[in-house]
Amino acid sequence: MSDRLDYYLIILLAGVLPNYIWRFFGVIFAARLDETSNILRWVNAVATSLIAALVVRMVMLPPGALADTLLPVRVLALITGIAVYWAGKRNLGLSVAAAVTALISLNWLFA
Amino acid sequence: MSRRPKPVAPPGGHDWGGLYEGFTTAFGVPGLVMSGSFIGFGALAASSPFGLDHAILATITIWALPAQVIMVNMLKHGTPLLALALAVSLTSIRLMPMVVSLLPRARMQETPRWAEFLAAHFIAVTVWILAFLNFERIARPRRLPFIIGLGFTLMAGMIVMTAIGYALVHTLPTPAAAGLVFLTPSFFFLSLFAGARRRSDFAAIAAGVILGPIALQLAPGFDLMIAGLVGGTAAWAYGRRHDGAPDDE
Repeated sequence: MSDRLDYYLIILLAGVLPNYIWRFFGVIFAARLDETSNILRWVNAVATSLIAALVVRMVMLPPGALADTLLPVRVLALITGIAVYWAGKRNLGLSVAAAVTALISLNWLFA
Repeated sequence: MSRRPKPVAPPGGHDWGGLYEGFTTAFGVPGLVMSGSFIGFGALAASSPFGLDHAILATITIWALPAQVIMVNMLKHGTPLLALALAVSLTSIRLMPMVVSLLPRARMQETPRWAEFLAAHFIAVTVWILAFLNFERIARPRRLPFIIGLGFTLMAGMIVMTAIGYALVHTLPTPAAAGLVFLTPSFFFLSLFAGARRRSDFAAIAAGVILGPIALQLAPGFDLMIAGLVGGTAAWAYGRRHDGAPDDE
C-alpha cells in the first residue's frame, strides 16, 4: 500500500465500489422501500454510531497538524461546539466555526 | 421493509431547464457549509499519504464525505483493504434510503436509465437536503435535471475546495492548519447532533463515542465497523422499546 498508483486502486476498490453500490440499489429499489421502516432506522443508527466512533478516533489519533494540539484542547473544542449549538439557534455553521475557533485559541493558550 | 404498489410515473420526459435551477440552488448556505467541510477534507488528505490527485479523485468518484474521510484516515494506520471497504460500506448504506426517497418523486415515464444512475451518484447529504427543501416548488419534469445540475455544480465547487484545503495546510502556520484539519471531526460531530431527533439517535451517538476507543484497543482496523454495528444495533433496539412505532414521526 505504498505505491502512489496503488492508491488509485484502493480508492476504486475500497472507496467507490462499497459506496456507489448503495446508490445503485437505491435506484433499483426506489418506490419499494419505506423510508420510515425499521430496517432503515437500523441503517441510520449504525451509520450514526460509526461516525461518532470516527470522530473519537480522529480526536484520539489526530492526523497531521492536529497532532500538535493537546488531547484536552481537542475535547474542550468539541464541547464548545456542542454548547454553542444548543445555546445558539442550533446553527450548524456557527457551531462548527465556534469549535474550530475554540481549538485554535485554546491551543494558543496552552501551548 | 414494507412493500407498496409501485407508483406510476407521470407520462412524458424531462424538462432540462431544471439544470439551471439546480445550478442556482448550489449557491446558498448549505453549499457554504459543504465548502467548509471539503476544505477540511483537503486539509485532512494533505495530512495523509494521499496526493492532491488522489484527494480529487476521491471527491469525484466517492462523493460522500464520511466515506472519503474514512479512506484517508484509515489509510494512514495501515488498515487491511477489506476493513476499509466494510467501514465505507456501513456509512454509505444510508445513501440508499436517500436515493429511494428522492427518485420516485423525480421519475417520469420516459426517464432514461442513465439519468437515474447519474442523479443517484450526486445524491449525498447536502444534495438530499436541498432537493428535499426545493422539490415542492419545482415542476416534476424539472426535478431530475435539478438534482443533476445541483450535483454537478456542487461537485465542481468541491473539487476546488478540496484543492484549496490541500494547499492551505502546506502554507498556513501549524496552529491554523490544525484548525483546518479539525473542521472535519467538528462538522461530523455537530451534524450528528443536528440530525438527532429521537432518544435512540442520541443513544447511537453515545454508543459510538464509548465503543470506538474500546474497539480500537481490541481490533484496530475493524474498530469503526464494530463500533457502528454493535453501537448502532444497541441504539436501534433501545429505540424500538422507547421511541414508539417507526411511523409516528
